[in-house]
Amino acid sequence: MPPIDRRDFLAGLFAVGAMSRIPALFAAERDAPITRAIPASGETLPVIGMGTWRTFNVGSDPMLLDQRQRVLETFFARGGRMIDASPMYGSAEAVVGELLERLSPDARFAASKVWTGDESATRESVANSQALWRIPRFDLMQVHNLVDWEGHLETLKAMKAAGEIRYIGITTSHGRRHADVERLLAREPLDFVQLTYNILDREAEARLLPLAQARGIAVIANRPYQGGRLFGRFQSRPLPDWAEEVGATNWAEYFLKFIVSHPALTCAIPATTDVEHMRENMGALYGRLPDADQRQRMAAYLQDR
Amino acid sequence: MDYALGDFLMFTPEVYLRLFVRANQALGLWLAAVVAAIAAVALLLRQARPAARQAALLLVAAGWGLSAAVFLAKLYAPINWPVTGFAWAFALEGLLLAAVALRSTPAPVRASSLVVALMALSLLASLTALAAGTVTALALPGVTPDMTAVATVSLLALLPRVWRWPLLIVPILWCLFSALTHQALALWLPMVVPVVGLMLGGIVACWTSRKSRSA
Repeated sequence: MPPIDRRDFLAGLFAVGAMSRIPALFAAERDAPITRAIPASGETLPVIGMGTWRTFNVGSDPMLLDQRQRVLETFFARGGRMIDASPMYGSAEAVVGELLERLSPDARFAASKVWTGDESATRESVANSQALWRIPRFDLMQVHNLVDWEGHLETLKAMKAAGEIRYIGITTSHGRRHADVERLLAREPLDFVQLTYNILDREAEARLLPLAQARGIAVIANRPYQGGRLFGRFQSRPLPDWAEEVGATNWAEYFLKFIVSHPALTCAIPATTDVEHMRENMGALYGRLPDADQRQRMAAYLQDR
Repeated sequence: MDYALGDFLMFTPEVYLRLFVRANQALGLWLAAVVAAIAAVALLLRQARPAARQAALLLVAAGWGLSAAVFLAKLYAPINWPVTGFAWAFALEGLLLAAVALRSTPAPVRASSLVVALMALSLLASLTALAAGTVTALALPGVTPDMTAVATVSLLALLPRVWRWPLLIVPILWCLFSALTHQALALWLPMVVPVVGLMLGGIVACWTSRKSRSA
């Protein structure tokens, strides 16, 4: 073995030092995803899920199906689990079903909705959605926008008791029917509530989120980007200098981390048709979350703009 | 938090524009037959024999059936549930046109009017292709619903008023629905087609210069 001179020794030290830094370069990828427990069971869910409103309604278009497959692949590869759809979203359920079969993910949390004015058609609706999703059982079945909720909820409760679905819930959006939602949260044995909550639409903070938290009901935030309008308003503006302190390196992370850092929130469900946007969305699943003071600062930063 | 028109749409502009590409793909070589049928309608409307002009109306009726089956029922309805109703309405319009063709004859059309109409239709047909950025999204009358409605509304000016009004209902309702859809999707260029359909519908409903002629 040749002797090691001073120059080789120093080069070796440098190499060891540099290698010790390499894991830090990939720290964001290796971090555990941020999860929240579903109060009803303690089962944990990644705080970023995926919505399908508008984005996965592509019918039988083979080109768009392949493209959405890449979006879904990215979602699962980055640690996503919850996918939310509805019979109202055209072909979205059938598209998700086709793509789930193609991808066979290790873990997924399937959430859909009952959306029919016929209160006696709950089981038929669930069975139809199940066939479209090509799954034996839904993790979560929700009453869409409280449409004829009385009959649907009774049947869903019975289906949950029989083990035909794992969790039940209700949904609303655009801040509609909050008084009805509040009444149901207070008296019904719900596992989930889905509502509109984002950095500008914060009406739910006043009553619904504290009530859900007190009653042990998981909360899903829909319209996290106001249907994309938040990007239209703010994307051309710079992120604040302190964005990295709240764990945000882009606007998607900024908006999503604001939402999921609320202590009552379980999951936000942004929707996208773009692989790069999905990567940005899933970035919010890692790193630090803002604390209460930082959340106020995040909201205030947008108030003046 | 209020609903915007776009909140009621369940698909994106990209998916909508792909429908035109896919309709053309679905027809494949049959597209040549559609183009030939459009040319035949133009030529038949120039003929002096009433039977020729009635045949033109029958070809237009077939175009409504094709739009209903391929574009509306097969491609569009799966992503936009109200379209299922329109697919049936289009089929009904096709039957009505066929029935009218057996009872009435369109007036012969002047060559100059025909040239202007064909040029206008060609321009309108290219708008979806321009919006989609591909010539494969060309919208042909007899295949795509907006263009079928616009071409038919123009042709209804050649019929007696008694037939025009019942035949205008479906095209006008469709053009209204389609114009709102385009607005919600912010597809301003292709939106011109249904808007032209609505304007023509208003004009044709009031048009009085047609000399009534029954077969």
